[in-house]
Amino acid sequence: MRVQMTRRGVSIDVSGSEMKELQRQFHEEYCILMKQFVEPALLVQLQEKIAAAGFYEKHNRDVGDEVRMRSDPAGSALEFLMNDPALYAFVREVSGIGPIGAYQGRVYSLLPDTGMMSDWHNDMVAGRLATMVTNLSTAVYGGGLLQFKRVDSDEIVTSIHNTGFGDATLFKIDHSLKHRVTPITGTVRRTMYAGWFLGEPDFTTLLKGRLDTHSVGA
Amino acid sequence: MATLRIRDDIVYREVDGVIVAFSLETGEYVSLDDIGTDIWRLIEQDGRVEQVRRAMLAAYDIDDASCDQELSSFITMLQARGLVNVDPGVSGVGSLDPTGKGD
Repeated sequence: MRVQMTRRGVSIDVSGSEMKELQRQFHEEYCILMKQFVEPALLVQLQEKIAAAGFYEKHNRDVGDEVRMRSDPAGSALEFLMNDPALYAFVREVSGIGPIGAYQGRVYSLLPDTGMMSDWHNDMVAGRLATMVTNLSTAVYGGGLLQFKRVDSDEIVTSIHNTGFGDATLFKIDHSLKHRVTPITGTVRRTMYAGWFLGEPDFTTLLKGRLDTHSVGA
Repeated sequence: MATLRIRDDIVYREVDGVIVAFSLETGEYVSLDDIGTDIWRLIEQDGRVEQVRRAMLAAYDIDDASCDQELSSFITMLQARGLVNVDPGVSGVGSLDPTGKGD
């Protein structure tokens, strides 16, 4: 199986049996893991840009604190590549969600020795269909487990330590579920590109407003 | 013979049938038209300018002079927008002369 963001767009190679297993995982365990979702060479370029970018502190009410990357070409490149119809189709087939208009995300870090974490929450804001989080960390962080439980139970159903460089999780959001990220331990920051597939707006329409178009023979 | 290479800091994909490129360096988007997209694909396959020129002449109803003018203009735009690097080739001729004959 390969689901990979390259600098030429997203490449998908998933067999029928692999897709069935992904669908089972998504619905029964609420989350799938895509190894090396970001092509290693592209990942290094993005990490270099992110390292040079500015971050600011952001408090997410009832969830926790993070530091969030300011507007930067690395964030724009990720947004552009994530909003690929091939990835939309893959996500829809795995999850069964309705039509996707856009993926909107942000690059953020949880810093060690700060108590930064994401407490139990469900991501359920109007228009969000599914969550996808890509690991952009430059080293293996401690703690920072992504965990899922049902709202009517304290039992952890799934726990994922997404520390593989460029690996990504796609997970289910629903009023009956909650997820959290446990506090970071050790000395390494946990940097992610996290966001949601949305029914709208339509990303292509937004993109066309940003384009500088060049014609041949005009 | 000059050779074109899409820069490593460029990400791109097709949007509604044409190439849209984004520069990690400048943070700018550039959208190509249908013919520009064809040329981009040719550059991906074999960046030698002479090969691109031959493919264009074979694909389009265009005379040599017009082809050279359009291709040269397009390559200049790609360079100016930081989308490609141009290797002038073993002759050391820095010209973008699509015929590969140099200045």
